[in-house]
Amino acid sequence: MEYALFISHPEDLHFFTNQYSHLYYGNEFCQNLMPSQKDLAIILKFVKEHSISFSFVTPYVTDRGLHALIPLITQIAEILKTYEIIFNDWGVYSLVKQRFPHLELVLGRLLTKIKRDPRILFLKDRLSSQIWNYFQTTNLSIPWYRNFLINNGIDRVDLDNPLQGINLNFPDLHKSIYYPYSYVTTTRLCLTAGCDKPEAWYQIGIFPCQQECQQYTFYLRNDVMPVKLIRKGNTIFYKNEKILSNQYDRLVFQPKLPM
Amino acid sequence: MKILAPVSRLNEIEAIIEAGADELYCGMLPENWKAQYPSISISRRQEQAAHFKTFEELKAAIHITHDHGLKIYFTFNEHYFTVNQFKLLKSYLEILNTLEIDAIFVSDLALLLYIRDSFPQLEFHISTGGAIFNSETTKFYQSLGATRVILDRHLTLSEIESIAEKNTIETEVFIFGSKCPNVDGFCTFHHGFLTIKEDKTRFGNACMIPYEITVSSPTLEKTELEDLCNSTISLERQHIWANTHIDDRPCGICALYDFQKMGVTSIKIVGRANPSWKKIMDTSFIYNLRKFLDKSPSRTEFNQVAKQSYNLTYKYPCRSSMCYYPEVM
Repeated sequence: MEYALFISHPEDLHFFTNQYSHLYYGNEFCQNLMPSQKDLAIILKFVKEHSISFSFVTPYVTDRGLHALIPLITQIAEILKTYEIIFNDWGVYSLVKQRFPHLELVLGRLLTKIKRDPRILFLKDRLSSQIWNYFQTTNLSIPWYRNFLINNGIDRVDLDNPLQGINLNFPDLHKSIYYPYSYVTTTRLCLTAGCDKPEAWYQIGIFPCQQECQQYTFYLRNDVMPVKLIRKGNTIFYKNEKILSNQYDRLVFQPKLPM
Repeated sequence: MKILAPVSRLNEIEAIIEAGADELYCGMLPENWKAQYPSISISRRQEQAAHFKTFEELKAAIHITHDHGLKIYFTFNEHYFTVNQFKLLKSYLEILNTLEIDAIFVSDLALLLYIRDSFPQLEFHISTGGAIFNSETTKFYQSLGATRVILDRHLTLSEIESIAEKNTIETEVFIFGSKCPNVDGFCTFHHGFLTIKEDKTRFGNACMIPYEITVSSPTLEKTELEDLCNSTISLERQHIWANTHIDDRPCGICALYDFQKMGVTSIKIVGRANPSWKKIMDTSFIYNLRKFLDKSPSRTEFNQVAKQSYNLTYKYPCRSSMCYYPEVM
């Protein structure tokens, strides 16, 4: 078992202790939160000095975001011989394949499909075994899809740890589990952007932000949800501290919400 | 620039075509699927109103549409399927293959690969569930055989233009109806709990639930945080955001002006489950404004006429929160 630490800011490097051998760094959900080259340099220095494995985590992006990724990946390539790119956008996958063909590509958790609706947990006794099985299974259960990934150089997939459990019975792929935060949904109509500006109360859309997500964390509660939902920036998460499967070979620990 | 309209009943097809639709899309939820998976759809819609009832009805719908010289597409765009479901899915694809459906909307890469390899005659478009935000993702799907991409709802006009100008594949964008507040392809809330009839409040759309909201911040005092939470900012915004999904009048009509210049292939009206009168009204509203573009109006003239038409047709003022493309509102 490999233990990885996932951080989104250099100041969180203090979470890295000798129990970890691998560092994840970056953001999956918002291209406005992709790191600066200055912050990335701090991270790369740390990785080099500690001789640890490194994964650069990338979000879904527009063409502007794609363009902004190139200097970051180039910067990493200048420092490290081997590292992974965690991709959450098939466009990022294509770009990396074209420009950096030697890199290892990992299918990110936004692209590993499984329902994360917490209410599924309330329904266990009311659903047929067939439907319950669906909610615990991803499309990675399909052999020709796994072959497609493997034939295209993807032999690791990153997955969330949904409350209802997850079937990881596909030994031909390496699997990483994110812990303890699972994402549920994400938006570009970010409610946190402008959340402390009274004049912006009616502003629901894609607007410039001041990265208010770095200041505020919202909690959404209703009895219909077995857990509280956590809105950090443009994304909703929940915390799940129980891992029901042991069929994975990398645990990715998030000491904070990865935003 | 074609107008793509939804249909789900045989007796509405001709009226929707007469209202100005250039192409149609539809769904069908087979009985043996509903028997085995009552809480899961094959096309992101659970309610019967969104679907033709049988493959025979679907066949008739295809014939009516083809008789008018138009194309009709089938939604098979659930975000993912599992290996156990493919026996049923294969049987549906075999039927669709014989029905002369013009294309299938897909989101799931596993289903896409299966169609490509097992039913090479079937054309497929990438649904908004395919999460397309950039020109490289578009090329990726094109390389797998897709003939059209439906771009994500959450893109600005300049982001759409960037994709359209860099690609050779057909592009489709949203113009009217259900402005889902989350990214469709990355939202993992489940929409199929409607079959649990005894408690629709508990099992309706999760984004629309009236949550109690609290907030934390490392730098603000408790009272400041409570003020922030109780202010209109967080509560009202959450409420407005939640309603973009069910308000049936979200609109991007002012952007027709831009889409025509960009060379976008098709503009999509959401609402398979809507009543026939609503589908006809939406189609006619968009058709008339597209026709107005033939007169080469200025941007200002077009926006004025579009807004007047929206206000008259839907009895609502333009609202930025319900606008798909507020940058040209």
